[in-house]
Amino acid sequence: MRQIIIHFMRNAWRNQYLKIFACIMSVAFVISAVNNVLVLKVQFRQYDAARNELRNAWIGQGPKNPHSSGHYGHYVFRPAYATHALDNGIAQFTGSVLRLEAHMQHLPQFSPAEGRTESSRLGSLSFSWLMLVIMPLFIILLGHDAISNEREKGNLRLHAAQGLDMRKLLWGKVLGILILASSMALAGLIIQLGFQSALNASGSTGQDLLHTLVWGILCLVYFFIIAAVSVTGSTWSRSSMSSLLLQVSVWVVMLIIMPRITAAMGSRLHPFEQRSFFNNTLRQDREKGIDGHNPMDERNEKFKDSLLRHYKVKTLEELPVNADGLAMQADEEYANLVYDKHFNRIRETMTRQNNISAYASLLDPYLAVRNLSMSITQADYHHQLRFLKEAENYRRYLIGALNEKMAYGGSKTGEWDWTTDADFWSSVNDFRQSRPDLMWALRNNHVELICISAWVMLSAGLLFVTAAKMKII
Amino acid sequence: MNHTHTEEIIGIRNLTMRFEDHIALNNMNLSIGKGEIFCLLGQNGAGKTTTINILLGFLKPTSGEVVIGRSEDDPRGFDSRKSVAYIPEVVQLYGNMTGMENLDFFSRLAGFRYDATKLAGFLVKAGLQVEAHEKRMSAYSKGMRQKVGIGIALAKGARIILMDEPTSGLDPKASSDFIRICKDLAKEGCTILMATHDIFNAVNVGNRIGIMKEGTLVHTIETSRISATELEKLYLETI
Repeated sequence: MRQIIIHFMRNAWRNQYLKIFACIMSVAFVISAVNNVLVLKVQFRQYDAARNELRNAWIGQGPKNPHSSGHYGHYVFRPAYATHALDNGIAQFTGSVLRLEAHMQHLPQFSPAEGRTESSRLGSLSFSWLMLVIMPLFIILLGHDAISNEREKGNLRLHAAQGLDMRKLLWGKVLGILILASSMALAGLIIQLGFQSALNASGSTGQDLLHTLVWGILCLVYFFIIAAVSVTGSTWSRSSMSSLLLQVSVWVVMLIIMPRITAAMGSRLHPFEQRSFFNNTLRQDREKGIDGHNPMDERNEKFKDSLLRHYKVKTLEELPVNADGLAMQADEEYANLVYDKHFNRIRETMTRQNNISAYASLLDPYLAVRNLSMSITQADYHHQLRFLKEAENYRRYLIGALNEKMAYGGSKTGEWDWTTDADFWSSVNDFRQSRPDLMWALRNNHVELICISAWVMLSAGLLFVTAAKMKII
Repeated sequence: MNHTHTEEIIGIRNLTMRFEDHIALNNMNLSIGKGEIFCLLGQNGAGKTTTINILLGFLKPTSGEVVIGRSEDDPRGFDSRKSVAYIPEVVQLYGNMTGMENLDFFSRLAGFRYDATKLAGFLVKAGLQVEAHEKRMSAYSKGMRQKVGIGIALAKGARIILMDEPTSGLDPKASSDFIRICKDLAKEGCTILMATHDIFNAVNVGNRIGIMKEGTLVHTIETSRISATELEKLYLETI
């Protein structure tokens, strides 16, 4: 088999067209690396600068009414990771800034893709696009005639006459393709990491390196599947030309059409409700109660009555605490229930939409690899949801802290112009998103992992069956 | 079987090959001895190439058997993958590799590793000029390619060479060179089965000639007993 691998690589090395393709890919890798690294560098800088500025502004509010501060709001930022340079997934389209405000849950704003109209239309030259979409084309160029050309030239008979086991021939070709494709991919990765390091934009941690390594292994597995299917297709094709046409057609279907079909099916089968409907139901549930029989005013009155009973006083003014602060917190907690109910519904719809793409991975390994790639580089929708969830938890903590200050900080009920001391603001913790580990990312994509494992076994099985059944003449 | 070679190297017994409704070989029997050159003559579709393909193991016969190198001393016979070499009508090999590189590659496939001197020796023995050894095969003529094909057979140490129309398309000089090399190989004990259309070369190179028609081996003639003209007449009458 070693001879086949060496021979395949030597032949490929002497092929002028492949050299041209390799040059084009190298240039694309460099352009992609420079672009990704520059974007990432800006994101890192902006993230740090904005976070520091807003934290300083928060701490430096001075004496101020906590409720006013709650309405003024605060901002949190989704962190960028070095792995986003490999695949920035949906992170480039989803907002990275979230405004936190009392009584309100806002949607994220300001996605990195905003303002880049050209790349929004055409898609950016991302590293993952080169690796997951263009590299398969390179593998097809290498593999489509791996066997058919040998048969056409009569060399297959000579191979067989020399006593070569056809299993060794097929596996040798697949491994030869894999080594060439991996070498090119590795060169691209080195270019990428080299630029990150040179531009001092890596921000890399041990976790980033682990994710990068696993991402590289994922690409290797993906390349193996494509190489195995390509060589198998070449074996069963009547001619190299028909093999090329068939394989390029499959590439178009699997990498261009299928992702769009699954996305369209997702939104068709599980459509999002209209924003106006969503906002209306949200407002109604808040005003009339989740069950429709518990209006806001009544809830407020009941809460105040319970306070009076608890403190055994007759008027709110007699309370040792500020009833407005406690009432606002109670209202906040009720609003949280309403938001959870409605946002969970939206999240369930999103999950159902994404499940279609996940299960379609059984038919199309690209879908599995695309989802896994985004997940490993921490730029998929699971990570976005996690950011939103943690930001919402922080909003609840933040507003809770402000209401608590209003209630127990020394003000009286109705004292809306009361101000807290300047030191209070620094006692409120800053937002820090916990970075999920690799296993968390993989667990969220277990369907894709199962599908990709099935594809690996299927590809290996195809090679064994093809070697046993293939015709020499 | 009326010939001087007694030790059977290739034995074909009641060989029949059907492709759906078409009978490619019909109960063929043939025995070829050590150091013999046997030429199979016949029109396209007569069954010559099918016979070679079955001997190479590329096709499984419908019935009958082929025996390679079986004797009382060696009842299992030769391992056909190690002892049989094949030279097709068109030896393409790899155009972007030199003759030496091609020979080295195919030798390694057969499990042999030779140094450059030995490889060059095989090519010289096959009749390829030394100055062509390091040239890419895309610059080779058909005759030169055939010589590399013979070099591959030599490097494999093949005791049997199966040739399918090897002289087709060769110029007279290259054809004559090829025949001389075949005769040299036979003298060294190599057995050759050659499928060909070329009556005159068959008479020149072969010890015996078989004429096939529609899958049947109709005549087997010793070349010492027939002239090219008589063979041509018999051939035309047969087909």
